[in-house]
Amino acid sequence: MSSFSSRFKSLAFRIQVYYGLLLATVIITFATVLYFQQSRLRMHAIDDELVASHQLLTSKMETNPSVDDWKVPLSFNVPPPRQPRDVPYSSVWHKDGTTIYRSSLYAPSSADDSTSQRKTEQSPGPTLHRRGITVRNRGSFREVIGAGPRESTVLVGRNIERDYRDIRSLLLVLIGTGLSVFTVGLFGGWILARQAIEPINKITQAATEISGNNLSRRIDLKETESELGRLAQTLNGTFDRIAIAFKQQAEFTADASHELRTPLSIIQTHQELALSKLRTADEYRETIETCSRATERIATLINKLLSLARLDADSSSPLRISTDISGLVVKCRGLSEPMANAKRLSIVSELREAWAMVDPSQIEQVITNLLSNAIHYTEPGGSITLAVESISHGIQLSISDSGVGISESDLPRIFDRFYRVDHARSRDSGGSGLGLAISRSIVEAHGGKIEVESTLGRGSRFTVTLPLAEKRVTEVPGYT
Amino acid sequence: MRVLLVEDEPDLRRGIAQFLRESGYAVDEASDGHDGLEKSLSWDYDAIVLDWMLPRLSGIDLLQKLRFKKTTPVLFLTARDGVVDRVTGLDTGADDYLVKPFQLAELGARLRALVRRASGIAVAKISVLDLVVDTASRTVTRQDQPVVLTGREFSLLELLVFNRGKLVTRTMIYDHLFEEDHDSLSNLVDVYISRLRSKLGSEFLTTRRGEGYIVDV
Repeated sequence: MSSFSSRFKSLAFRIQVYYGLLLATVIITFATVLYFQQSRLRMHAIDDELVASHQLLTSKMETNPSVDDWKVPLSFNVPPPRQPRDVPYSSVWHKDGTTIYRSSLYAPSSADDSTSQRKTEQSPGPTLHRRGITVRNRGSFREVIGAGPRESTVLVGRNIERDYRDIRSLLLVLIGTGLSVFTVGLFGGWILARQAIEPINKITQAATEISGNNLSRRIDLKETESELGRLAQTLNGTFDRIAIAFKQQAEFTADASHELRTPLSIIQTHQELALSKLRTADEYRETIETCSRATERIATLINKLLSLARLDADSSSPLRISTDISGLVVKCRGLSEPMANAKRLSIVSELREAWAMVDPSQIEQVITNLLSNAIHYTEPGGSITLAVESISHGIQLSISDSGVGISESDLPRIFDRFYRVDHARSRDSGGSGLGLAISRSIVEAHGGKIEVESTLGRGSRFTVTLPLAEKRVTEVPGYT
Repeated sequence: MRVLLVEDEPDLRRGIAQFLRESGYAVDEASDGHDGLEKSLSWDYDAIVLDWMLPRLSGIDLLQKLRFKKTTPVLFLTARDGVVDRVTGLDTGADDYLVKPFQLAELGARLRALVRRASGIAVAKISVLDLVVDTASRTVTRQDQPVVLTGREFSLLELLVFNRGKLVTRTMIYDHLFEEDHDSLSNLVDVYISRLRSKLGSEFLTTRRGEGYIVDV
C-alpha cells in the first residue's frame, strides 16, 4: 500500500502526469482549431461557389430570358461532384410564388421552398446574409437565395452531405491521430522520464549501500557531463572524503584503544598475580606501585584525548588575550630547568618582546611540549636554543636542539596522532604520541602554523608562527 | 617447559614472566624484536609469547623471519582487536592470539594447549602406566593417590611424558627446564630424576646410559 502511494508521489509519476496533461491540452487545442478552421473554410468555399452560381444564373437570366439556358456550369463545383446529387441545383420563382424555373439535375420538393424560407428565419442556425443574398441550411442542403431580374427570386443549392462527411471524417482522423500521438507521446515521455530518473535511482541505491562498514561503493554513472553526472561526481568526492575521515577515525580509535589497553593489561596482570596467592608486603607494594604507574598513564592519555577532542570540536578557542610570547617562554623554561639540569643541558634564550592574541594556557602547553621533547631527545651535555622574535606578519617562536634529530621518513608524520618515532624511547618518558598532534591543533586553532626541520644526528628545530596581535589590550597577570 | 616472552612494556613483561614462572615455565625475556628473534633462533623454545608492537623489529616481522627456520608454537599478544590484525597474525604463522587486556588464566591455558599440540597430545590429562599427569592443574596421581611434586619436578615429568616413546637427552632437559641465565650444576638433572623416581616409582622411566631417559617404550 505504501509502495503504491509512494509510487504516485514519485517524481517520475508526477512528471508523467503533468506531461500527459500538457500533451492532451496541446493535442485537443490543435485538433479543435484545425477542425473548426477546416469546416469553416469548407463552408465558405461552398457558399462562394453557390453565390457565384447564383450571380451567373442571375446574369444569364438578365441576358437570356430563355429558361433552357439557365443551367449552372459544372466547372463551378469545387471539388468536382462525384455523384449527381452533389451537382448544384437551381430554382427560380416569381414574387407571387409561381415557379418559373427548376433545374433538372436535382430538386428538393418545391413545396419546401417558400415554407422553408420562413422556417429558416424562425431558426437562424447557420444562415448567412451577404450582398442581399441569404444563405441557409435546409437539412443536408446548402442554399443561396437572392433576388433575380424581373421580380424573381433565384435559389441555388447543393447537397452538402458529402462535405459534412468529409468534415466528420476529418474529425475522426483528428481524434484518431490525436489519441495515437497522445499514446506515443505518453510512452515516449515515460521512457524519457525514466531515463532522466534512472541516474537518480542509481545515486539513491549507491548512497543506500554506502555504510560505515562498506565505504568503497561509488556511484557508477557513464554520463559525466550532465547535471546528474556532476552531482554523482560531487557525491563520489564526498564519499571519498567521508571514507578517508572514517579510516582516520578508525585508525585513531584503534590507536587510542591500543594505548589504553596496554596499561590496562599491566593493571590486570599484576592484580591477578597479586591475588593468585598470598604475597609478601613488598610484593603487594610493588604491585600497587606498578598499578598506579599504569593508572597515571591512562589518566594522562585520557586528558590528552579529551583536549584533542575539545580542539576538534571547537577549532577556534574563544579565549584570546594579548600575550607576550617571550614571557610564556621564560615561564616554561623555568619549569623545565630541573629536567634540563639533570641532563646537563644548556638552554640559550634569544627573546624579544612579541605580542600575539592567544589563549596563554594553550600556547604554554605547546611550548612546554616542544621544550620537553627537545630535552628528552637531546643527549646529555647538548644545548637547546629558545628564540622569540617579531616577523613581518606575526611572531615566530623557535626551539632548536642539538639532539638525535628525526629521520626524513619520520619527518612528515611526526604531527600525526599516535605517531611515534621510537616506541621504547618515548614510553620511558610517558609519551603518548599525542603531544605534537595537540600542539599542531592548538597552533592551527590560533591561525598559526608549526613547522619542523631536522637532520638526523644533528638536531631538530621546531618553528611556531602566530599572527600578530593588533594592539595591546590587557596584560594578564601571571602570564607576562 | 621453556618459553620466550617478547614484550617491550617493562611492567607487563615483568608481570607475565612472573606468572609464567609461577606456572612452572622456565622463562626467557626479550624487550625488543631483534633480541627476541636472536633468542628464538638460538634455542628450541616450547612456545613463544610475542607482543605485536615491538621496537626495532615488529612482532610480525619477527614471526616471518622465525618461520623460515622454525615451527616453534607462537602465541601473539595484540592490543588491536581488529579482524585484519588477527588474520594477518594467524596467516603469518602464529598459532594463537590473545587481545590485551587478557586474563592470565587464559594465557596459561592457551599456552598449555599450544605446547601440548606441538607434542601431538590433544588433552590435558596424560596417563602413563599407573600415573595420571594433569597438565592443567599441574597435579599427578599414582594409583589414584595424589603425589606432591615441586614446580620443577613437575616440569621435568611434563617434558618426559610429552616426549613419550622418544629419547629425552640431558641437554634437552637443561634446555627446557632452566632459563638462559641459570647457572646450574651439571648433576642437577640427576638429582631431579632420582626425586621423580622416588616419588612416582622407577618403572615408568627407563634410563639409556650415556644418552638420556625415555618414558614408556
